[in-house]
Amino acid sequence: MSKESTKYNRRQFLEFLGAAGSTAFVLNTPSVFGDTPKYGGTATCGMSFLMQTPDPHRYIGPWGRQCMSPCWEGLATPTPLGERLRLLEEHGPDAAIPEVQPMLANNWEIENDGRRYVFHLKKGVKFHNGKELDSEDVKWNWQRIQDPVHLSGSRKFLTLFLESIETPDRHTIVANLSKPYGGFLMANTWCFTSILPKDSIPYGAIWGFAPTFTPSTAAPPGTGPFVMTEYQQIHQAVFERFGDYRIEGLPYLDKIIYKVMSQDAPRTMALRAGNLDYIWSAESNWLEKQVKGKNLNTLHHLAEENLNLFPMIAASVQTIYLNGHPDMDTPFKDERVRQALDYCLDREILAKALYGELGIPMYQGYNPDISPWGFADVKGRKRGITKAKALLSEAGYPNGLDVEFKITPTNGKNDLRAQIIQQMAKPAGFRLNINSQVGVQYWSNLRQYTYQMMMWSIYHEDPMNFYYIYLHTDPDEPYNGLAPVTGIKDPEIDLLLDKVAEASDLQQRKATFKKVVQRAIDKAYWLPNTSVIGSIAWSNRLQNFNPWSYFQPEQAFTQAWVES
Amino acid sequence: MSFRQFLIKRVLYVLPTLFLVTVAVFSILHMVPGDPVDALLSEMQDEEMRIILIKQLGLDQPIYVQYFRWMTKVVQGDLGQSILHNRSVSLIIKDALPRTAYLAVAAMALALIIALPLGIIAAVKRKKWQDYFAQVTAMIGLSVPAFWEGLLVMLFFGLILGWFPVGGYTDPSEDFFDFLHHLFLPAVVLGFELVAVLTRMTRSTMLDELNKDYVQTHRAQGLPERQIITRYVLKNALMPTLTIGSIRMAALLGGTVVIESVFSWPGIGRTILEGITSQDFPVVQGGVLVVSFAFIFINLLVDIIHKWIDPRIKLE
Repeated sequence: MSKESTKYNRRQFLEFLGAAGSTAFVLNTPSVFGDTPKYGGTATCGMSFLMQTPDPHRYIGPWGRQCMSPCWEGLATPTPLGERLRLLEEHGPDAAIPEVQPMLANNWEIENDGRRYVFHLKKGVKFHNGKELDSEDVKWNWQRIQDPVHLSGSRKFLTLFLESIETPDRHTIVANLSKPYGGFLMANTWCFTSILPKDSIPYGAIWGFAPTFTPSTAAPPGTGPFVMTEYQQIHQAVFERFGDYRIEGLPYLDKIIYKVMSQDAPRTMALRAGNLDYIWSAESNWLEKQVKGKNLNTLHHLAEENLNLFPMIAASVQTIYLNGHPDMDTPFKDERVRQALDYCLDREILAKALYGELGIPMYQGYNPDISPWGFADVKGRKRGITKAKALLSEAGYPNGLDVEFKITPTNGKNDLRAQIIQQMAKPAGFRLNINSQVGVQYWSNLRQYTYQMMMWSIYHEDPMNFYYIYLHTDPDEPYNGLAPVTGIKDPEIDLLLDKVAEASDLQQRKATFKKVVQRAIDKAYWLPNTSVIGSIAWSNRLQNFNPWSYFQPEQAFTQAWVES
Repeated sequence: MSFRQFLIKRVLYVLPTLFLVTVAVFSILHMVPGDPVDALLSEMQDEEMRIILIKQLGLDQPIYVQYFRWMTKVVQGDLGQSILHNRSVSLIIKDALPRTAYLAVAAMALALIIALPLGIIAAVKRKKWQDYFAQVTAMIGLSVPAFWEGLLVMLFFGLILGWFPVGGYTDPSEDFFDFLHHLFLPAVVLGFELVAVLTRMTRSTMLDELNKDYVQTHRAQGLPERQIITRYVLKNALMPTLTIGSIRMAALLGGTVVIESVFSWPGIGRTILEGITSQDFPVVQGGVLVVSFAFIFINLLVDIIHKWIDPRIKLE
């Protein structure tokens, strides 16, 4: 039963935004939901995890971003979903919406056919340690990420084609690339390349990792609205207001506390009991009841609960990885076996069985409802056991075959998912032997191709940071002309991915990437299968909290305040 | 054997036990496929970074060299550095162990306050409603899974009644009242299982003692029942309860992973679990070593207390 009293659908919300005269990322006026801003107060949040070390260059995944968003900023920020939907509403479904928006850079130019990126930095931006941002800082960050010794999560994505760096003046930084690279702007958003002050971490050290480096503060300085002042990975992280933030008057809150509450049910109960102001990922049964009949990606007020809810489609897509390495002991090097397994999957049933009403069947790595890299008209295989059997027989397995299926049961609902897939594949002759592993074994298997089929996911904002890295062949050691992870060698997909890399025009990139997605489906290199509706929820005490205007929900603390 | 000789002998037993524990933990951890480098690199399929890390962490050395290096440091009182958090393992344990100890002590205190009287009453009022009540309580405590019990008390006392916070931890040095407020529910859930064990143990040992001849003699002598129970029966009956209670206490110090996870209590159990899943070898090795030491130490303490309570106990 719906508990809402005030519901903002997308159109109403957009009208509201429009009436307030705000674009989604203009941070200077509190325009949505709040009346009079109040300074002070603490927001307490329940988070599933915190990143392992508070070094923003290390991590690029969701847990890292939650911690990064109050503290660190980049030259740009990915365009928020709210802004994207607003522009689509305004200009139609074919509108060319920029992937990124300015953050520490005021603007930029792309020259020399996409081989030269010139960023003009904002002036007067202060780091948490009092230093003023200049182009040498950006250069140092790029070089730090480029050096493998720093184990940066975005090393390949940012510096794949980075040849040289110029700093013509204090507020201009130039990247010269070896070839045109359309993903370079996205690689310079804060999620991949947060900007820290030059030399704030010694060469070779990782914050909270190198034995020879003992930092005097909890985390490296950034330019974000809050400073991280405490960090205990299994307990909590504390962020305090940065008085010299680049946007005058912001933030309003004195403090944000991220408490680690790894279980969904207690975390949701804590919010409902009033112990927390904000949670990431509500418990699925409760969420399913709350979102019934409501629009996604829209803010909802739950009057009886005194809460607010933002149900959203999760960015990651659960995927079966198939090992296609020609030299490994795997049946999936034969395209027909991969396709046969794909024919066994009934994604609608799988999504429903795993997540009920919250499940979304998926055939590709990006959901078209939330990502510019998803396509509503790509064609996936529907379940067809007769076809699957025929393909297996053709591939030399008329009596079926035994396959080892490695899973990490702690991740999502992988144990249940694996059992459903096992049963779906059985009639065609696949005898899947499920083998549970811990997360680190997983990565080891992917790196060394020591698996036949595994469960993992596809995510990230730009195809260069997933499809390119995992499906494009790598001529260097140790891959030697095979794609990392899947072990495939497909010159056509290489060519298409090169075109995706080189195109600067977004529409052109999208058109080519669509062919990559369709080819990956046709060849069944990997089998994306489900996504899920996730959520964030917050108490009424937290005012002016508007995740619609930000790429990452936790960035919305910048403009929020608390009512006593 | 004198008490001093007994003590020296027991302390000497500790060393080979701890040595075997370290060998076992080290070997098992290194036998599991994957390594901390995989955890550090996580999603990054970058061989160049992997090679650098393996060298940095000394994982390219043979396993016995790695063990010897670690043991050399341990003997010098250095448990090493966490690979994932680069904090000294000693500091990580210093943070986490007291939190678990608070929980364990509170749970044990609650359990003793409830279980001892309940067990005694159950024995004295055998086959009466008090006995049935105690037995049913014990049965529930033993059969209900702790995580489910945890969720139920959170729902009722946290969400419906709003009397206690639903999970989380506040350091006592920050706000002692808030610390107690957060401690109560996990301590009750943890203590409930202990109540069950200790009630059953107290009841059965009390019944054994009550059937002995010396009790009949005292009764025949006309001593009041209360005096027989408190002065004679209880003293003898509590010995097994004390032993079981102490062993459980030592086990609790080893971490109560389920309760710590459900109540988001950042104790030693979660720390070690986190170390295991990310193969942070030094944290697991250091954690298990300290917990094993605590376990052995508490057992030694129990032996000493036994001797103190009942001087007839032979030290050999």
